[in-house]
Amino acid sequence: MADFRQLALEFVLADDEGQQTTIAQNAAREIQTGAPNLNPVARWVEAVQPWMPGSGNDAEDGDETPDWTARAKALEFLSRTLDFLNKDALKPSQVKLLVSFFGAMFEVDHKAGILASASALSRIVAMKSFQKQSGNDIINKVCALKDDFPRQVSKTRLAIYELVRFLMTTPEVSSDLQHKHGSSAGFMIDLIQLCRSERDPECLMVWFDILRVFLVEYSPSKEVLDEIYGTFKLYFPIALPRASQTGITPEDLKLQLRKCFSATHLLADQTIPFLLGKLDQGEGVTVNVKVDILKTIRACLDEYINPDQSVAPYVNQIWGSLKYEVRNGEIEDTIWGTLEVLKSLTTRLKGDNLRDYTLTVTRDCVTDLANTTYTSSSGRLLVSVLSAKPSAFVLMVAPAITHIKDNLRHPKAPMHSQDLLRILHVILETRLLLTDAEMSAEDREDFAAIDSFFKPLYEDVYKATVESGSKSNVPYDDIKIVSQAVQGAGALVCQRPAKSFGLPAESGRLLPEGTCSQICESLFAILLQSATGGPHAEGFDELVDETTKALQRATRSYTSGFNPLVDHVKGVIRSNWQTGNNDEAPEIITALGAHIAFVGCSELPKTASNGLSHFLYYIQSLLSELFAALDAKAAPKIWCSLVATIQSTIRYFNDACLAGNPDKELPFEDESWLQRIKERYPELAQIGGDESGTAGGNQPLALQTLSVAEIRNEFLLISLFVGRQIYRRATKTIESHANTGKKALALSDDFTGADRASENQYLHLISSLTGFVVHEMSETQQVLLRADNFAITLFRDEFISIPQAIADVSGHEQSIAENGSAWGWLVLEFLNVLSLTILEALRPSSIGRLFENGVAQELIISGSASTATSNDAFTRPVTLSILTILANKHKIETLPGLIATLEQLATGVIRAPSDNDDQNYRLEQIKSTYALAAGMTRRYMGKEARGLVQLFKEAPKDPKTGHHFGRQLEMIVASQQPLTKENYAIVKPLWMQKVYFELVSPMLQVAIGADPEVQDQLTKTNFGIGVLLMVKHMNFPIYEADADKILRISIAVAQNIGVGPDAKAALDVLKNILVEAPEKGKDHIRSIIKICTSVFSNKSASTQKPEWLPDGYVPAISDPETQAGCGKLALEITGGLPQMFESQHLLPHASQVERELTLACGHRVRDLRRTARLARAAWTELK
Amino acid sequence: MATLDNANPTILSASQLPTRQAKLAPRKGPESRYNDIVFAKPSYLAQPFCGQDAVAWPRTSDWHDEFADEAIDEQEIYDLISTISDPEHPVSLGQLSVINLCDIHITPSPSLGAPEPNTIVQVRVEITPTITHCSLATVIGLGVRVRLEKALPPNYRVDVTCKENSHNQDDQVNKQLGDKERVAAALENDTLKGVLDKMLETCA
Repeated sequence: MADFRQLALEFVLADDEGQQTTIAQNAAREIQTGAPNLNPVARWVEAVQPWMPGSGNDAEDGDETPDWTARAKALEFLSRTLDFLNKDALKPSQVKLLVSFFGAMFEVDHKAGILASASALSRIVAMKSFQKQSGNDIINKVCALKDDFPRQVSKTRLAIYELVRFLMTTPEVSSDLQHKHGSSAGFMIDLIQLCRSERDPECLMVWFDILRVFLVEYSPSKEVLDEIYGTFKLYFPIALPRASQTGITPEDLKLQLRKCFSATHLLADQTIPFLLGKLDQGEGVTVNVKVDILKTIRACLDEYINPDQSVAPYVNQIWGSLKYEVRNGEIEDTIWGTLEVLKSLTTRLKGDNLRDYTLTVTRDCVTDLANTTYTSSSGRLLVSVLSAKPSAFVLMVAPAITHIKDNLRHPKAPMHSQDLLRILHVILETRLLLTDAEMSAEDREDFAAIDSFFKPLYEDVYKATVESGSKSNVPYDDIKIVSQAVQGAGALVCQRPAKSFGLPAESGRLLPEGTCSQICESLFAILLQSATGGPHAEGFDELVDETTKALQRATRSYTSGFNPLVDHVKGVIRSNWQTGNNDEAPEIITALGAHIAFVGCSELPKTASNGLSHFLYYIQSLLSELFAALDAKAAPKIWCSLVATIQSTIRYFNDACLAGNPDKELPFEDESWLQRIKERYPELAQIGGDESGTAGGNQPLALQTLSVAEIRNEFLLISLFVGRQIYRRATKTIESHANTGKKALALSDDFTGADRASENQYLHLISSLTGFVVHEMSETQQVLLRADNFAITLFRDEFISIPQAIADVSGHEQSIAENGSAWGWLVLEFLNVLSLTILEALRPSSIGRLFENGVAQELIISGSASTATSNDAFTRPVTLSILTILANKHKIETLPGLIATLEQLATGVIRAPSDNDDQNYRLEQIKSTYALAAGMTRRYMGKEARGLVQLFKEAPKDPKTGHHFGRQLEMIVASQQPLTKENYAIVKPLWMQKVYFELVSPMLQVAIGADPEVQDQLTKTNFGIGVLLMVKHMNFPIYEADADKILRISIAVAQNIGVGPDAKAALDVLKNILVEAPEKGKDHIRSIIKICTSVFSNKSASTQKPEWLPDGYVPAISDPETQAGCGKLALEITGGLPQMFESQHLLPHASQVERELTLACGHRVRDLRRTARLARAAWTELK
Repeated sequence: MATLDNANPTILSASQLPTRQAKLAPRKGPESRYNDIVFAKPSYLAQPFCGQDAVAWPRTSDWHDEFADEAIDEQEIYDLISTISDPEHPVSLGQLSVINLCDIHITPSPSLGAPEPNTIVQVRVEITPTITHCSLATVIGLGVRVRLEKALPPNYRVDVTCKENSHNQDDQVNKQLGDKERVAAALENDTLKGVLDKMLETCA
């Protein structure tokens, strides 16, 4: 049998919370398991006897003050035990006993027992055998605290408040209290007496809640209501004491008090006048308080039941007070709060009350519409009320529109017109929202009755203004007005008749078709003017933005308005490239084309398939225009602008589809996509000339029922078809290639080479178009369509045959290297860019197929072993990129033959050069291997390729071209677009660290002379440059351990080699190291200053070039951009030194540096002068 | 300062001050979302992937040439000194129209290209005090002079004067500002130095 006395003693002595909990748990278990005949409950209660007043069994003197702490702890022992007791553990008699025991504490033990008793009672009230009558007793006992209550600490008071709230919200107790006290609610009056001076935020939160519960759930008499109202009203407006440490925010407290105000409509006659009175106090009210008052009024209006009696009588009073807050208000928060109140008020009114109210509002506001100062605020008032519900809209909109129209006829200022148009626009937006709202049949009838006010709006209000926007030289103020008007006109097209509710979205339009197309035409006229009209006034851009958006919106609603626009644009484009100025025409085509692409294709209409029709119609027009331009031998710049527009359109439409969250994995119907597209869209298929569309077995698509995912798939195939047509147009077939004698493709005869740059751009644009389409396909879609074939046949699969599989697996690569490849045209000639972007967009699984049939190997070997040295500056980087992609997306190390061939090639170039080799050719070959390595390292190079890495490490040793070999190593680490995850490349997280460890670090050792075999200064420099160019692309932590060595190399390189790309890399690395770890530079300050000053003052010519440096090692004249870049870095480093090092290290150099910086303030480049001034200021402050 | 010479000067807002006119950038609207992507120079044509001779590519860096040669022009001088704070008001000299772009003259004209380091370039700045009896005109002039001397290379000679008829005693003020000895002496005065440092604090 447990000794409760012992437990109680242990509890009192325990300091630790966990220990106390364990003891309380033990006691609870003892009570629950103890034999009932031994009455464990009684013994448990008695256990605290020694600490109770008047127990007399301890040896204390009567005079001595009792140990309050110990007593409090003893009582806490009881309450904590209750926490762990089952709810049904106690019998009713025991509960009663405990209630009276703890209740008595409120009367006798003000100093120690209150908190424990309150928490204990909270537990007891929750017990199953708690009797509802005891609730009243407890409240009585609590009230007996009287003046001692405020003296309790806030934690204790909080426990009591929570106890009371718990009692009052327990249904049985609550009904007992109501039954016992009736409407006079004596217990509440006592509680109010007890708590009237509460100030603690946490306690107030509960106290307000108690008051709210009472107001909502009890039905007190008028006197009690007044008493309660008097209690909480005093707290308003409430703020949190600044010193308050509780987690309660001022907003919580305000909200809790607000709930008291809005608890019962019976208080309406007091709350609303009180709150309005507070609001009208004028200057004394801060914004915060004002917002609080407004929110409280709004809560009352929203919550009060029986609005006819609780809200309607105060309508005039509220309107009278509040309208000035908006009319003359300046602070957005209060204006907004007021508008919300007025809106709430409107929603609560009905019938005559609503009519009277709206009449008052209308009367007051429409007069202000004529006053420039108040137009905008009266508009806000009007809109806030009429947008509250359809019936208010019906009552107010007619007079509002009439007055707006009247005023627009005689505007007082440009700003006035703008404000009026803005109000009208918002009214139109409101109508759009309300049309979809639920309404009774009667309301809808009323709503329909005002339709006639909207129909003539275009003619009456917008027409003249919108049409003025397309004139040339519109003044600034008018542009602003037109900007407003176009938005309104756009919203007007979207209006549907009131009775269209429930019908399909596009079935009804309020305006007749003629007006809609008129609006579209006049909006378009502004865009046309913007694209063709030359330079424009300030603000015109904004007008164009708004017009574009408005027209987009209009055509989404009035879908048949789009195709005429396309026809119109087509005409403009045609006339431009046929007769227009060659410089301007491409710009006009691009600008206008992009506008229409955005208007028709950037967002799907409600019936999504209409969007696809728009897209199809537009893309078809553009494609036919492109082919017409090609046929007519228009300038390549024109082709570029057209194909760029096609690409923008495709990108926009893709965005539009993605916004609908389609299933991107939805498979295509089957692989015979080409046939299907030709049959479904014969008109599209006819463009391109070489074949005609055949209306065959495939039925035209039932567009209306397509889901967004189906639309997207259809869109992808259409776009792919467009890409195909353009590709085919750009290529021609060759039966016998000059080098191989085999079938090949070449650039079509459209390409004359007259404007090489634009032709290149065209090739890039069409390839990025097709690449984008392939990129957007999912992996399974790519596999199903055999997208890998597109990359090698360039959509001429009827001519270029694809090998099925490699004939001789083991000797495949060897035989290509020896016999040459039939695929050289694809990787080495002008067409290679067409293949590149498709390869870039393919997933590794599709790339894998190219290795299965052996074509990829052919591409790699012919790409890297190319004997052609006349590679064009455009095609060569493309070849390298192709190699990189193939090496990244497939593990080429697993093809021993390929690796062996590559290694053989590299060995030949690096280790066994013959004197009469063309150095340029050697460099190009090594670049190919680097390009492959760039792809491989991203996904961690397999051990099979170690030999290659070993060769790379030796490359800079070459006496003739070693420096080039070293420099080009940068290719391996420099970032490039095809090697991003976005383009499905395989990129492992620590690849850069691996490259540093395997390649850079060993080279660094050679560069600093740690390799006894390499002591030649020139070779060491070759290595140093290679290291610096690679390190430039790395983050500091990667090379932090070697930072000292790298710093030394960068100083040496910058010192020995004049301004140029090498020095720029050196300065770049130097700066990075100094920024990350300034202390590393401490021993080199002198050299750093010397280097930097000679670089930015451009004195490199005067510094002696070391003897061992051969001529032509660095390009004699570096381009101005590199020079300026070097100068900027040098100035930044110099300017940063005073922050990095203590002045004693710098002062010896100060006068010299300042002199140089002063000169640098006159540098020829503006940006450098700015940097020089900053550096100069930093050095001047040096003390 | 017990009373302000001009307690209520006209102050221009930042948007009203002259700024370097950026070369016309292409329109940026909702319809040009993809122009940059579509017309970008392809990444494979960047260094180090392309060869030494860069490939010509149309329509890039037309409007953005960071490292072009540009001589110090009037706007640059204006930018240097218009940010000096007024000794009386917490606003800049540019905002008070004490410094005006049209009152800055450079010979030889910057339109002739960047001058050789040995060519002497004369920079003349005329200040317009906010009122004709401004007692601080000399201090302002001194501030302008100090600022320019700290920011310009040695071959630039600075001459600061009061604009004609903008001050009751403009000849005296001009004399003080033009006298090297007096300027040097003024800079050794700690109080005056403090005022100048305060004025120049706002210059970047």
